Amino acid sequence: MAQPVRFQAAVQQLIRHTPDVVTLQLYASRRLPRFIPGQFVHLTVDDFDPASFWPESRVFSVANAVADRRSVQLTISRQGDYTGRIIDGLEQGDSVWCKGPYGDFVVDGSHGYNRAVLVAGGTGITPFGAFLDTALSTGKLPVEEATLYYGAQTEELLIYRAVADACADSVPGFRVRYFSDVAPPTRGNAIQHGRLDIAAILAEQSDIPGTAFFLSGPKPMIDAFRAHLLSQAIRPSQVLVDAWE
Amino acid sequence: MQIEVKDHLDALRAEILEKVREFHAAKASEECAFRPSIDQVHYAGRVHDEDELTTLVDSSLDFWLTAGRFNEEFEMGLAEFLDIENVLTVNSGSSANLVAFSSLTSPKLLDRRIRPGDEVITLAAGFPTTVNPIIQNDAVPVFVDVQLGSYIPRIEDIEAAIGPKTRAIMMAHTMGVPFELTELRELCDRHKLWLVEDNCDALGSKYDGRHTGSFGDFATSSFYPAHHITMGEGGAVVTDSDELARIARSFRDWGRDCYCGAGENNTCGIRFNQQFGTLPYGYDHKYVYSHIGYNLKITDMQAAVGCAQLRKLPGFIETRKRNHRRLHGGLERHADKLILHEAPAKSDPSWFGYVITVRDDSPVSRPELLKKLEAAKIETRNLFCGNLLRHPAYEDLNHRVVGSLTNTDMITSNTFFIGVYPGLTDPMIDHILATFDEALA
Repeated sequence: MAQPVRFQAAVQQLIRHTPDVVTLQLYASRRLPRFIPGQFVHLTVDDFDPASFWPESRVFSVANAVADRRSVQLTISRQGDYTGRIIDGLEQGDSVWCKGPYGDFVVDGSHGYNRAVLVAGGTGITPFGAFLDTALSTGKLPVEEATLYYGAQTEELLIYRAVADACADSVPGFRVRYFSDVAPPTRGNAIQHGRLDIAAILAEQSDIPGTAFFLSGPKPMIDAFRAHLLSQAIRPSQVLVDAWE
Repeated sequence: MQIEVKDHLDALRAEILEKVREFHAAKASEECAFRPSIDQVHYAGRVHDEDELTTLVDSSLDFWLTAGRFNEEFEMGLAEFLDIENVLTVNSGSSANLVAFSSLTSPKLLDRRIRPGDEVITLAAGFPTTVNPIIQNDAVPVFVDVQLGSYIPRIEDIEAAIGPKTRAIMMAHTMGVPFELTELRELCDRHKLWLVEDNCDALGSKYDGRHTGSFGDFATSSFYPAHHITMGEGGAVVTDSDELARIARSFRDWGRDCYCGAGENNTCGIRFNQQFGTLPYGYDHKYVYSHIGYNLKITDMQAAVGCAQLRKLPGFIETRKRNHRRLHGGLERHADKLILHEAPAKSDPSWFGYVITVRDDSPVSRPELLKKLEAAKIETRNLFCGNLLRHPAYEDLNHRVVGSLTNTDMITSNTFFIGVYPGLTDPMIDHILATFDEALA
């Protein structure tokens, strides 16, 4: 993990997917450390004086590769009052403070497995967004094979579908499966009706001992999926979760 | 904070800093012209202006004390200068060497770690704290000789020293002269050896167009006043590897696993949700120790001075080169008596000093020459410890020597250096050269 820094960033673009989900395109006022896909930042919308303590903030996975060392993309869903302040209060051109990079939810071979199953529920896609962005730009995966299982309530909330489709089309070894509670398939890779089902996902895997399972999404989903995997004799080291307190 | 209070504090701060500038200007106006043989010509020293003073006071008004905004700015600035990813400040160059080497013993590196009894190739002609971390971690130093003139080893001698137990090469770019880094990096890659560059004397030097300190797995810097930039006491560990940076941060910060900065909590987001060894599940990550570490951090006041110095670094480097060129030009006429300072073809040194070895057949010995220089108020220094193995502390050292240390012994008896630091003026250099002419006539 690179040395984290605190940085001010301008909101270059704010995309409102629904009243409760936004994507922020931030542009940092300084060159940033190297981000690894899967890492996160703390973001505050409160006043911050760099000569004082860090104020209240929330943690968000970075959804792009930060290849230019300035642009940071975050997708944020309403979880409570603070995320509500971010979603309702921020406008294009506003300034925020962030600090990062943090975290080691990194999809690569360092965990000792050649295959990766990526399970993303809703805005849990964001750490994989950075992974997809990097794979798309490099044309290769950091593991031999990776399959993304991406579920959301509606087709419109499969926010990173375009980049996932592009990866599936051009990056060898990458596959994607979509799930939506309500929407029928309309374009690109087919969308399966229904919720993510960890038992079904596990049943599809041909090389379970060589596979790492990366889980990202709502806490109840992560807890339930992790418990199921461990109950099926999957080793704890094979199950990596993107979870914060 | 209320806007009116903040505005008032900002205005007070600006007023204080203006007074500091005034103070500096008044003090600077007292400086008088150089008087040969009366005023001291130092071999090194801090060179600063009002920027250092105001930045220092600015940080003191923050009263953050531990590493804070200035430290962050300094680390990022130095990383950008070196074109490297990670810079960690520490309280000295010697601490930087200790952190860098200790990090290579981390169990997190699995079979790549350096273990007790493993061998590390290094130099006896240099500063002891390049070698000490090897000894302190129970590894075995293997010494090779250096060349007179450049004071760096030959690649062939390093290669000849590689044995089955060799795990690393750790040595200094002595007096700013880069050892042959492209070739040495290739050698290390071929033999799967760690490379640690002690870059304390060489900040700003280049080899093959790249900064020294950017070739090694680790590199180190010193910011003691004698060095290229200063923060009083201070140093830095430099690495392009995020993995090594995290380990180094742990060794620097008490050995703890947590990487939160000063005044921070739970930046990982899972402070109370992890399992470590046999500790109770969820044991506070702030107090989980993955290494037997130290506390070698700096204060934000030190970093503030470093920030101002870093802004001056490119100018400092050019002045050092210019002073070195002037001294070299003036001393060339004594090349029959002195071995003059030189560097490898592909190098562009940011010189630490001008190193001179008195030839064995010179009519004037080193002690005689030094006596005349010191009498003319020209400071001289030995090439640090000369042959380290001849010092009392190292008499019983478990070590190996490959080849002979003939030149290292020659350095012990015949070598010294004078300054090239940016505080030297043309009249001072004229005085130095005139004194040499007189002493060697």
